[in-house]
Amino acid sequence: MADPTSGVIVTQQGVDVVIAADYQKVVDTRWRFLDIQFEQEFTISHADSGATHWWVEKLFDHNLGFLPAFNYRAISLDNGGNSFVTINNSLLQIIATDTSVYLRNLYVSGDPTTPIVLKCFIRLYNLDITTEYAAPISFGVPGAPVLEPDIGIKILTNEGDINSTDLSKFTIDTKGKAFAIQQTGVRTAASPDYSLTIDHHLGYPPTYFLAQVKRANEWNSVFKDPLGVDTIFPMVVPFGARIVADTNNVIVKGSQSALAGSYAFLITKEPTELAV
Amino acid sequence: MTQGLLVFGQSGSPTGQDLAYDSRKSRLQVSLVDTPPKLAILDNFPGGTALVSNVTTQQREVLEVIKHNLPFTPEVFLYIYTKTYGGSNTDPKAGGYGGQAYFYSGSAGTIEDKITFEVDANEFRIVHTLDDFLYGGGYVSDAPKYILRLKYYILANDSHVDSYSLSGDAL
Repeated sequence: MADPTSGVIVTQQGVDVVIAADYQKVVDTRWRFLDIQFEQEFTISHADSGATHWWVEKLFDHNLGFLPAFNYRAISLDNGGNSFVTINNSLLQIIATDTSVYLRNLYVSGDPTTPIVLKCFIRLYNLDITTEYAAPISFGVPGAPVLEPDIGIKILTNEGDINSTDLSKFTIDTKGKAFAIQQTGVRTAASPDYSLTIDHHLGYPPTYFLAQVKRANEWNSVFKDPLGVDTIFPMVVPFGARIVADTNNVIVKGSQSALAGSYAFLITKEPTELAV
Repeated sequence: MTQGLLVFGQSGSPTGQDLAYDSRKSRLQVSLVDTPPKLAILDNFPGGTALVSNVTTQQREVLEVIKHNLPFTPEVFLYIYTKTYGGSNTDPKAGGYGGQAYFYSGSAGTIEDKITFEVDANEFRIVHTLDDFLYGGGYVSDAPKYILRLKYYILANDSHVDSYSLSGDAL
């Protein structure tokens, strides 16, 4: 996307819009934001699972036309008496395609009458993190003040009270920050080192997220996805002892070949002057 | 909703990602003015004490408690950077950068020694835990050798669960 010559920039109180660093801005329409396209609780019930194949239940259509970033929280799970079915394991998954979001399960013999029941909350973003993108960066003048605002801008997302103190009711509130996008893309872990290198060159270890991407041709044998299309997994903050970071890269390593395949990443703009 | 504020991108098309701003969509938000802070860097943060493992019971210490004063259990993000290990910033265990949890040690499923988080309707906690699965007891935590820099976000967005931790499960 070309750098627009017109747009809107809103800075924190006391900061000149011309010299503001990124962390001193609340809005810059040259940036992308992690806009929430959809968020809702679901209850899914499935009985009579097959022992040797995936079953798939569609949760909803998003129709965005790309693999969207999303995450979820499991609220409760009744595993129907099958202890192999647990929350967040590799067999019970929530995935998205470029049109829909599904719950699927693999290789668990199900009771034909006692269903697996999952209640969960899904938050899906209007953002394709599988495309290569890097936002423009503005560096600030040292010492530019950031004060607690007594003036500012608030825009409600929907019907509500403009005097509400609940930040989530506002799409803009200059007392807070929304996550803006610094960089997205896809990196691949493969033999022999099975690591992902996210080259950001920001000068500090950034705030970042990962989401596994499975292309339709990457599924094999019993793991072949019955949907037969590209899929993306929930976006998470990766954890472990084998992630290192410096001023230029975040390098994520798996244990032996545990980390393999393609992963989309999201690096956000830092909301304050400080970064880890 | 029929009202809102839209700012179009370069193409001028009010669809998809070229819509530079759309007030109809909410976002993940973090307050910059709340006390205690909803977003902070905790520098030179001690990794924890030398907990000793027990075969039957998880050993645990709470390192930091932050009351969030939100009317729900919020989404939180915790990033953990290992500044030094044993006083050295060149040791291979320095420069580590985990999110939500950092494993001090955990070989072959015998020991799980980590710093991580818990959150519920009242507070966000940074905790050090030590689990002994097959070691047999008596493992001494490596935590005191670590000096950390932590960054946390307590978002103004409802997680829709009562509480959660690294596993994502209710506590």
